[in-house]
Amino acid sequence: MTHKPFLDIDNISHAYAGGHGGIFDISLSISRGEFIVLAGGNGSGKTTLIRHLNGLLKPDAGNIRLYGRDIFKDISLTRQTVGMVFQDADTQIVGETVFDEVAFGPENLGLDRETIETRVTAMLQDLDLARFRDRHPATLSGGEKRRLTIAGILVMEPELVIFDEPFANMDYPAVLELIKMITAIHQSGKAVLMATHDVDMVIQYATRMVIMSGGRIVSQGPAPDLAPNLAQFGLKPLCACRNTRENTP
Amino acid sequence: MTGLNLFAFKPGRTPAHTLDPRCKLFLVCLLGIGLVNAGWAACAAFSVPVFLILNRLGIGMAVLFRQLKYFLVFLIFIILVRGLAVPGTPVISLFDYAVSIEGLTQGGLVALRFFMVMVLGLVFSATTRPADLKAAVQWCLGPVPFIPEKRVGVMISLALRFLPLILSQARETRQAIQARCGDRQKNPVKRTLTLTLALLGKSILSAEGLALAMAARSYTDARTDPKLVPGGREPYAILAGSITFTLLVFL
Repeated sequence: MTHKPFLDIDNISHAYAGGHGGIFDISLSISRGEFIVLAGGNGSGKTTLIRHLNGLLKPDAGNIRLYGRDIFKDISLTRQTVGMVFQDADTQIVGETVFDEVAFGPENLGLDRETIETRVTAMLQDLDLARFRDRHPATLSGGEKRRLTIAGILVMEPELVIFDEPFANMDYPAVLELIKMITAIHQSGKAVLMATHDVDMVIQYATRMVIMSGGRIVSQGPAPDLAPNLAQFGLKPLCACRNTRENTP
Repeated sequence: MTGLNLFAFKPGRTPAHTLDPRCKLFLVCLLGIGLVNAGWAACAAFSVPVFLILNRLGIGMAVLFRQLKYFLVFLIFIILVRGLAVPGTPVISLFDYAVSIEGLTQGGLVALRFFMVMVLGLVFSATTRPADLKAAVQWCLGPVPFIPEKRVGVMISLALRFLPLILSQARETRQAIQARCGDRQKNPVKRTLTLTLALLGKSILSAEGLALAMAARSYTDARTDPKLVPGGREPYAILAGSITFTLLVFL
């Protein structure tokens, strides 16, 4: 079933001082239920683009509309609707206990204490974090911290969840667990946008792939169509390990 | 996984945990003032309940001394300086300088007071959820004009949040320096500068990331107020006891 896009990005550009990096003429629409893999090498502009989507950066040109309205008209609604999970879990975590960390977003939305308690408790149960409720986040493992950062976003009930290089610094079992969690989020009806340079792990779940290079979208379409050409955009080809082994004399 | 410092909150159900955080905050200030003037007997009397609580929290003397080793070095320094500065019966004499018994005794008492204030702070921070501390500070600052109490509350919680992260980064940076034979640098100023500048850069980057992450979750001053859990009748009894202790110390 196709949904009408709720987030429209129209020709946005953002240049950094000194002329290094930035994004140029980016146009993209995101609908409910989509799973978009935003692929690109280091410095391709992925992080800059996704930081525009919930108003952390303002474009120099172009505009972004959420439900037809400029995202800066109601920045709280934007940030509630577009949740972002950062690459480094340690710097994203604000709370001094697991409960406080998950409650941070709802407290910012000004929800009443009872609603916060109910939502946070349910979220801790759902993400298997209830037993850590009073623990300091610094004592959690890498995978648990990643789950905590996701809980802190999901508790705000976003429509779109953005992941910025979610597999960075994670071991294989933690990656598998995270993929399971992300697909569950997608299956619950939310849109997922994942910025990554390692598409091998998630390409099978993607409904669309967008490839960036030099701050521009250089290709987009169904993932299977783009998969054979990943190397030409500086991305690791699928099953690179097998190819390498076969090619090794 | 990052280790925690001694002062991090430790969940539990001791009376120190369940006491109204506003009362605890007041107690810490009151007892802290009392300890400034405390003698040997008062310090000894004060140490009994404090070390019992520490024991219930699983913080033994060995852990306490190991974690506070640098602070203990500072206390020993105070004792020695006092020993040298206060005239009296000499214990050791070297050239024109003598360490006196009176000086060592006075220094010992000052060091013990400092130590007890530190342990008091430790009991407070280890038994108070940071959210409760934030709530208590906000409650206390609420009536004070021109002070944004919610912002102060967030600043306190961020400071508590950042401490383990900075310690962990300091450890990693020190190891990275050692891995490249950085410990062969004998000049302590250069060694300190190398570590401090690298750590400062990392801390600024982390703070920037944190500010972005807070903004991404709609951070605003108009947040839901933290929940205060008022205690029962026991705060009155504990407060009365503490006021009596402080008055006795001053009298």
